[in-house]
Amino acid sequence: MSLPALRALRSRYPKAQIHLMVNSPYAKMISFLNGADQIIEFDRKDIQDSLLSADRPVFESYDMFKEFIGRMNENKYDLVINLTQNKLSGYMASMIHASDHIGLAVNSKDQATFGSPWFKYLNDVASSGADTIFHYADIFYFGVGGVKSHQDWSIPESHEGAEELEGFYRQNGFTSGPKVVLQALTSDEKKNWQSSYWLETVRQIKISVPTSEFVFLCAPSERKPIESLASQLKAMGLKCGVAELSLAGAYSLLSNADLLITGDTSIKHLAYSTRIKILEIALGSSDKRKTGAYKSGSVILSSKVECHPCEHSKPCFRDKQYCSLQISPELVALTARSLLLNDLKGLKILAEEYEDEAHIHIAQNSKLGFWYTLSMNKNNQLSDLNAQLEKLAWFFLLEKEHLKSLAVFGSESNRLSEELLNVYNDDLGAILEKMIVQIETRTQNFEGRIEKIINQVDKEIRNTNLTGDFLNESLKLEIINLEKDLKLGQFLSEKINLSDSLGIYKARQLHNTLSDTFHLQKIKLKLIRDLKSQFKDKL
Amino acid sequence: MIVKLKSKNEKNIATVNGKLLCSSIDPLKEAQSWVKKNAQKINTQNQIFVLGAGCGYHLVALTQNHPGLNIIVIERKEELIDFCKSEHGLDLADVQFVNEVDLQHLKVNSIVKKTLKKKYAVLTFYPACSHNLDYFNAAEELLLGRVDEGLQFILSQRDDLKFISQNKKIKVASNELISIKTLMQMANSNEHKEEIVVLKALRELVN
Repeated sequence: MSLPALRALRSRYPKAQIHLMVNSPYAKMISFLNGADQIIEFDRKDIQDSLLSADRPVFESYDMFKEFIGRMNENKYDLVINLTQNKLSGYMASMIHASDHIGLAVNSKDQATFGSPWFKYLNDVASSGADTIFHYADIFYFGVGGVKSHQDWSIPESHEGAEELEGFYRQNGFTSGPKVVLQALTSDEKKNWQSSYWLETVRQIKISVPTSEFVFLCAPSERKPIESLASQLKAMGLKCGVAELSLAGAYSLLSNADLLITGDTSIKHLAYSTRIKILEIALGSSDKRKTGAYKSGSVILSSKVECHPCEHSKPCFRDKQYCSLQISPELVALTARSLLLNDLKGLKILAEEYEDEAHIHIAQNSKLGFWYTLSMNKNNQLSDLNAQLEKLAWFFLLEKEHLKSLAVFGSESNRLSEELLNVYNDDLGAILEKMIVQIETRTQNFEGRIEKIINQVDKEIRNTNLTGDFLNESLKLEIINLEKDLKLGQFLSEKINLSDSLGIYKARQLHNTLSDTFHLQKIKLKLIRDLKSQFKDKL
Repeated sequence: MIVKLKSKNEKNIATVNGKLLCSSIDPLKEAQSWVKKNAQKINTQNQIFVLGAGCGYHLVALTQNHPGLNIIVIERKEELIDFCKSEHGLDLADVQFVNEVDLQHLKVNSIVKKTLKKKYAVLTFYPACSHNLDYFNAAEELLLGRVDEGLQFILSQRDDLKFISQNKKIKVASNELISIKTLMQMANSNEHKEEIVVLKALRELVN
């Protein structure tokens, strides 16, 4: 997901040396992507082991860490960019000296700076549970100054990879039928789909697409369980290869196969610039809004259970993994079939028939410059359209587009209308009459509510002189209700819950957040009104 | 008193008070296996303490597998140091032996004090420590710094860590080991901002 950001940096600073610091286990994968001049490995595990081992000196980890930072500072960087949103990386970023920092940097007093409105958005909005958020790849891309255009993730297929793949096909007796690649395991148990479901899915796909051939893709550590699956399929009379390939070989496989069925894995991101179609099964903590398969046309199945997506890095708290159990092999097999046969209408039917079981979304890389998903269920068209408008409004706000004297509302609305024509063409009349007007009315209502709240907050700040809690209970409740109606997670309430002892800081934070929310609605309204006039001309 | 014997594969080995100081079957294989087992601890180090000179084969294995590594051997019995030197000669030419009878003497040993100023690892070759477990356990605790006495000793050698000792001494329960959390409690956070950030970053790794 960092590759577009790296390419954007390369484009902005063609003569710069770009070094990428990664956790050791990921160094090989990152190196393959060829986005940086140097990969610097951070051995997080070794430092962690030193901290947790009673038989290692108490200051060993301290010395290891300081040495690492010292080596980084020898490189005398001009710019440090943090694409990892956690405290550890924030502290590390602040310790690496540079004239500029982009992304989270946290100092000794735990004060955070972001260096870019996009990374502040990542911290304040994307991490606060808001409903509509940008994909992480977009946040990173625009955060480092990428310009609106097709995100560049392309990687050329290598000769070695192609040869390796050819050898694998020969050894396993593959023919020319459509190839389905199965990435059954992820890095997190919670994100794995039931093993037995994979078997049943293959069986059903084989029935509906008899010429299809199957390959399980696996890492060396996954060989045993994957071979077990392949053996079980063999016992069912179904042939399935097990491909433990190099990265180059895996990339060649993805470049030459027809469909990838996967959980939330780096393989799905690797597949972006290949011709393969992607069917993602989003389970556990995998959140399609943030890390969904980026490739346009990818289908993402996600569970409808309330607890999904769950918290990252924590085990499933329920007695069974319901998100995994709920998505049936039948649905996956039928979705796979629709993708293999380019049957978009079939997907829409599935979305309605299996409405109780899962969300079915298609990923889109829009002309607007960012990624979004469309629900295949017609009943969700309103929320989809609202989400696109919301994202576009956020884009304007974060890029301060609305402050420019020649702001590009008109051209962006034009792009949006073209995008909508493309997506909804046969439903255009319905969109114009029902959905846009509904969204406009709601947005006007929100605009009014926020303006009223801002005035009340400002009044309270003046009256109390910031001694103690300057928000009365009914005002707090109004803000919380507004936040709930706007589906902003805890974007506003996080500011209410700041300690009163912070005084003017708390007041400023709350005021600025409300102000941003207000501007967001204003921008959205302007876009909606431009959109309406665009459609009037087109119809 | 040490007693010299032959291992099954005809290598010279020794016992102290009837306790074997290395394998009686194949001390070379045992030594290589011990070095391999401790690879993670050794790999990123320039200097290591080894507790127990024993029969010296583990020390030779260390020098062979990690040339250039600064090895400091802590051994109470001078006879064992002599045994190792006579058995392994040049193979142990660059190894430093520290022969002190108790912790108080270890604390004033110049080689030990110098080594503590920079990053190091502590390895224990258990067969070599079997003749005086109390001494070696105490030495290990001292050098690891995970108990109060060890921590205070290390802090006294490190000028760069004065910000930790400047604050009030935190009482650690006898069965509790010193960790990053303890260090953070002890650190003076008003100054030494970069050092405090290091501790905070490390704290995130154990959360």
